[in-house]
Amino acid sequence: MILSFLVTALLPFGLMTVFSYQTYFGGLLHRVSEYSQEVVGRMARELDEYFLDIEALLTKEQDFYLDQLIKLVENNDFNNRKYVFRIWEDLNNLQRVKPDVEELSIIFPNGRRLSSYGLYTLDYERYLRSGCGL
Amino acid sequence: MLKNPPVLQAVAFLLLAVFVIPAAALAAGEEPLTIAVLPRALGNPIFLDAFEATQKKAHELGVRLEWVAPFDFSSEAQVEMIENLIRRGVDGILASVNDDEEIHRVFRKALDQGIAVATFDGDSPGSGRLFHIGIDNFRAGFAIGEALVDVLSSRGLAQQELDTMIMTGLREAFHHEERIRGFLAATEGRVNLRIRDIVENEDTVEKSIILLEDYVKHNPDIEVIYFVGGWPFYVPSEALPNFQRWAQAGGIAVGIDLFYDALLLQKEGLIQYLIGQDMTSMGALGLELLVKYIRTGEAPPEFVEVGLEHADESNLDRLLEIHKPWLVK
Repeated sequence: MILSFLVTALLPFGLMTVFSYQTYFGGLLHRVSEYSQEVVGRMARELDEYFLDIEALLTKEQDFYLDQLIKLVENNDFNNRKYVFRIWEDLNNLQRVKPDVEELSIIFPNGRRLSSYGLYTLDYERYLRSGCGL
Repeated sequence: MLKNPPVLQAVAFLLLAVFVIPAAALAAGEEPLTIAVLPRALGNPIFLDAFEATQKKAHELGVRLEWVAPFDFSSEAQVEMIENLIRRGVDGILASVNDDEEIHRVFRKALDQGIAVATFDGDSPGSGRLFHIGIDNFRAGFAIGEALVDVLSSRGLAQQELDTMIMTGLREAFHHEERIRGFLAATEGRVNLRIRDIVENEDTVEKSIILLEDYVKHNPDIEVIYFVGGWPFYVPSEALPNFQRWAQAGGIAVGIDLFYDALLLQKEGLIQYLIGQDMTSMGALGLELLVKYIRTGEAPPEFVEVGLEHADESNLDRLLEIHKPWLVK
């Protein structure tokens, strides 16, 4: 009698437990995967927007001051303070918009860099050969 | 013998070995010197004269010039930049700095690694740098103090107690403090100034304009302002409406740093006396002396003084013809 009681009472209970576990676990997996996909999608969209923003900020094809500066640099003319200063201001403003951008620079064919940190030349090959200065 | 091809080849090889290979090696070894010049801030136009002159001088001397600084002054950022310059192995550093412990440490590190270090404009006497080129800041402060005494005496205000504000960059900057010390030494006992406030603008042009406008708005009764540097003078008078009103109501202002826009403000009566420093020489001569030291080992004197320029009513028009507008603000 005890055995039959156990069978009639516990068996449906056990079956219900297994059924609800599978249903709940399946639902949980589905929700986790849906949420992960949503997060990954959002991150991808944000990264795309971030790079598009930076690309838009750095598109300077028709920049008057930059054009003038390039002409002066090509002719070794050092009377360039007005243009250099305004470009520095410009780069500084861009960096304020994107504070996580470490450095913005305009690289000339002769290796000179007009950067948000000033004017310098960095020979990357030599720098890397020296173990990045470490 | 020379018609013999193997002999010809041998001679050619010998000539190559004797002339071409050493020449190529020499050329390869002749990397131009790299000298880094650090003004206090890229955003302070007072350094533009030095920038232009230093570029020309670097071209003349055949050295590679690096002009690096944070946009707004920051001693921490300067230290980081100097650390990077040391890692990159530049040959010399010429910098305008604060006289603080971190600067001492990083300068000593550079000197230990064989990098020649000197200062211009802002000195760090305790750092062990090779030399400093600039004005005698105490004397400049003293001279502007004497000029103020003359202005006040000519207006019959020498005995009157006058509330005074001093605008400086940073109290930690040795050269700014020296200018204040000189100013106080020149005025003490000769006029009756009551220093009400010393306002620090963190060595920033934009901040100095905001602080000045705000200060004269809230303290219209201030009678004298001494500008330790010319930070707020880069804009036309219309951009300084409160200061303009204050000056028109009889406020007296004197300051250090002399350039075209500052002279225009003086011409309009907003400033009574200016003293300028020769930034062109600081940059060009500073670079030249540093390069000479690196190339020949000839050390310049520990302090190289550049001249002061005075601007008052008597020579204002002439100075306005000499100084070029910078058109940067």
